[in-house]
Amino acid sequence: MMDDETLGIDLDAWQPPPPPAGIADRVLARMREETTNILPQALPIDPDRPSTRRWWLVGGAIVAAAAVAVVVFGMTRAPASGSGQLVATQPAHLALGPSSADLDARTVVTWRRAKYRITAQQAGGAAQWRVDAGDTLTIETALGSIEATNASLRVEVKMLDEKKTIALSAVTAAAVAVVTIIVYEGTVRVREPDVSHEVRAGTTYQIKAKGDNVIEVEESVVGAAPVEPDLTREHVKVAMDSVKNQIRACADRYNGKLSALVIVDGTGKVTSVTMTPSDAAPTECVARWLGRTKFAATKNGGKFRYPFLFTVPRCDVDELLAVGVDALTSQDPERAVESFEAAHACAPSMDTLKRVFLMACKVKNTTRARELYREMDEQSQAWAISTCANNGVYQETLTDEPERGHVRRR
Amino acid sequence: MPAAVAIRTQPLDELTLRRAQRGEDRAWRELVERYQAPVHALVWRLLAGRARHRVPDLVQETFVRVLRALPSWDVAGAASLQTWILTIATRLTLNELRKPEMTAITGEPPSTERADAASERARIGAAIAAGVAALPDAQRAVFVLREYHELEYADIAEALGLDLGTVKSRLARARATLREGLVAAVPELWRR
Repeated sequence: MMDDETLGIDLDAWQPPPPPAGIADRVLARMREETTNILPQALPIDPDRPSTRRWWLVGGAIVAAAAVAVVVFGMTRAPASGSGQLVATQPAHLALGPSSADLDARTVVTWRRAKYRITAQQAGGAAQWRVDAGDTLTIETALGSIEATNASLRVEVKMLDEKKTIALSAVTAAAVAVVTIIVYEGTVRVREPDVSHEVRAGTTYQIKAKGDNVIEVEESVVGAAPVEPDLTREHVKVAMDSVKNQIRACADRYNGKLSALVIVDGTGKVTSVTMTPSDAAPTECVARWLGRTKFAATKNGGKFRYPFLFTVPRCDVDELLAVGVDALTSQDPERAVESFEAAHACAPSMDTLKRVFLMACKVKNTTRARELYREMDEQSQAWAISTCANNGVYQETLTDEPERGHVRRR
Repeated sequence: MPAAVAIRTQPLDELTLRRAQRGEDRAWRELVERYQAPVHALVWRLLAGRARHRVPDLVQETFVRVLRALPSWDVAGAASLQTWILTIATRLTLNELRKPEMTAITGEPPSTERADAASERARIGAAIAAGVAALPDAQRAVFVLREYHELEYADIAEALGLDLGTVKSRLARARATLREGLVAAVPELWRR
């Protein structure tokens, strides 16, 4: 019988067939494609550009941007995410959710967690890392990167001469002699510029300074030894420490080495500064600050040669793109915009430009979309018009010209 | 006679769910395999008489959207995971049905089998299929979600963006329409 609540017949007589095989395989394949290629149907990748998938395989993540080198960002999103820097003047413990690190004294670690990916930069010193099975940790050092999950390892970064490092954040391959990786548990992957190795538990591996990534440091200029006996090494160190921040600021966009020959009179006043090379971008600024530096008074004064090594903190376009894709799949377009903009600033290409453009269209930032449109080649502009129209931003907005020959889609 | 037996799926355990939210492949696979049967059944029924060749694509698209949005899905929220997934599948399929090429009803093939027990069941099945296919999309969605997936009225209202009263009235109309069609197609069902 029928009533108000049921139809009163055997509805199971109408049965669907079983689901076709392979649904999960196809879904997962699409998800993997999305997380590596971001909206592939809407965003053709330039054929001559290495695929993002390959980047993932080749590159470990690198801590991005100068900002994270010195600024500690709070936990802005999920509890597991955040970034910061720990300068350990004495042994210190760094908790990174389920993973952690124990830093020896005089070790500097800059880190960033994006969900379950942790990227860290170990500029110097030694640290013992414990990586949870759910986390993937990439430790970036000046000579190579170390990628680990479900592992316990120690990483020691030995400097050529730590005393001559003017700023910890500027430590690079030029200043690093050897990186030692000791694996206690699990297996880690070590990536050098040209090769990668698996390092298993109970094994030690060393990356030694070699090849083009090292700027050779002349022994004659290592250290800040005074030429004249009355101006001591300690006098120089104290005086140079007083201006190191200003000097570092002179070269915030400079990669390379400078050398200064400084003459100081008996009153501690700088009477001469000779910079080599004389035409480098930060030369004038560095010389100005050296000229203002006040040294301790001595009987005869003295002269010394002081080398500077400057490196712009590196950014990792792959990492920035990956964060952008994460944000997009998490339906956080604002963060996606931020990440793709950073990726474009890091390594501008037509591909990064398209990604930024696509996001500008998605969030209806027409001003930015117009700017990017003007930077595109003709073929990309055709793509841009159709793509942006799908997001409700039309040709006339991008070009000031009405669309011709097409019916506008609303 | 009994109503349909809803496809009951054992809920995903919390640990697997958390891992799926973190984007782990194995957990994603488990989630898809766990819920693919009800999603497939739902989409297949919502597309009754329409372009059934679109079913696999829509099932796949449903799970892609589920996995994309999963990190922000509230585990402690009111809706169960299955209800949420079915909601996504329903909306996706209804959007598909709004496309002009999806409006033509092709109809289920008429049964020519003998009237033994098995063929009678097949006839009833064909009659239900034809009746459901003839329902307006909005009524069909309410009917299928309620009768075949046992969603609560409130969940159906949430899934379809309707108020509770509308859900109930559409369900009543769907049942009435379907009953009329079944009486005409299989009159002996109501003479017993």
